[in-house]
Amino acid sequence: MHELWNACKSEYQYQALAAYVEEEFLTKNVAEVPHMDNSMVGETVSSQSDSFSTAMISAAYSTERLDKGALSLPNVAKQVLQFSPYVLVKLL
Amino acid sequence: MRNCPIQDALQVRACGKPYKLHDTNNAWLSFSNGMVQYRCLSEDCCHSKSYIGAIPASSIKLTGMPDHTAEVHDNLRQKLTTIAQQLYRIHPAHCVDDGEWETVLRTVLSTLRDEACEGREEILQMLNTFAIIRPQYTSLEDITSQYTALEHTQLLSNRKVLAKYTREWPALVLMSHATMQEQTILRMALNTMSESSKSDLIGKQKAVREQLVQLIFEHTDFSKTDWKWLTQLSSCLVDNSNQQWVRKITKTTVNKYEKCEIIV
Repeated sequence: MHELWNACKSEYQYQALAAYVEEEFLTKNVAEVPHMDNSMVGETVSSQSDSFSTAMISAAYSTERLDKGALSLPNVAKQVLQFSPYVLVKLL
Repeated sequence: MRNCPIQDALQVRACGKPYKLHDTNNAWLSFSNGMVQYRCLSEDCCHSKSYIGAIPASSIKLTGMPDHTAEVHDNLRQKLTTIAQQLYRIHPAHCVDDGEWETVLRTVLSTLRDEACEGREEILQMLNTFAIIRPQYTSLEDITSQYTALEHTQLLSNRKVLAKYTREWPALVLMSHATMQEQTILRMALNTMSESSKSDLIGKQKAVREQLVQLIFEHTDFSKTDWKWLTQLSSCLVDNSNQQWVRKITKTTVNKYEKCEIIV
């Protein structure tokens, strides 16, 4: 273990591993969603729709994009309405 | 009709004397079969007639040409980053047999095809750290000789293979996902880091890495995530200068794997 810990590493490895872990924890689905009844839906959450919803929420927090008008609240509302009922339930 | 200055200049250069081709704008030059061909466009001397020079290209030194060194370097860096992002996401239980390992080597070579010479040292280092946590590992010298042998073959691999491996065999297996609160805290730490000044960057980066380490220990499925890979990951995230932190992380890692009956 100590050999591995102290082994020579490239800058690319540092960056790649850090980016990987960040991505895993930021773009994968969120645990413990309140008021969610899985039995009602009867299916496992699709990671694709989840990462999209998470990405959209994170984008909505971005003041820079809001300032530029690229993601106005009406636009977000339109995107939300395009989601499936399941994703809507999860978001709410 | 005057003597053509371009022809004279090229002849002078061919005799070993320097001549800057950008000193004149009235010539069209091209290289073919190792020779310089030029067309003088001056009305004064040649009346736009063609003159074909028979001067070896190696005797001409072009000056004032655009420098693409930085562009080539960026391109290489981008390719190495992409390879690293794929290689280190593959579970160490895979790419261990000769076939898959050779596919990895061929894919890396295909990706680096044009820049293989420049990126050779970095890529061998990456392949070494990729292989060192796998049972078939022998030595860096062995990897270098295998890589060199494949460099001279034309049997390259599909560049998308590594991306496929990362999807099918993820190195990090989670038993639960980060909560919304944990994601928010991590995102805030990342934002603070990106907005910090150079002097604050190291401290902010450490805060992000602490968050990541905490999330790893909270959510990782240690029975399915290889301990050697996790050690590599932790050693990249934990600052080696802080020995107290290093000891704490290594001890926690050992304990977590012990609970899964895995001896580290």
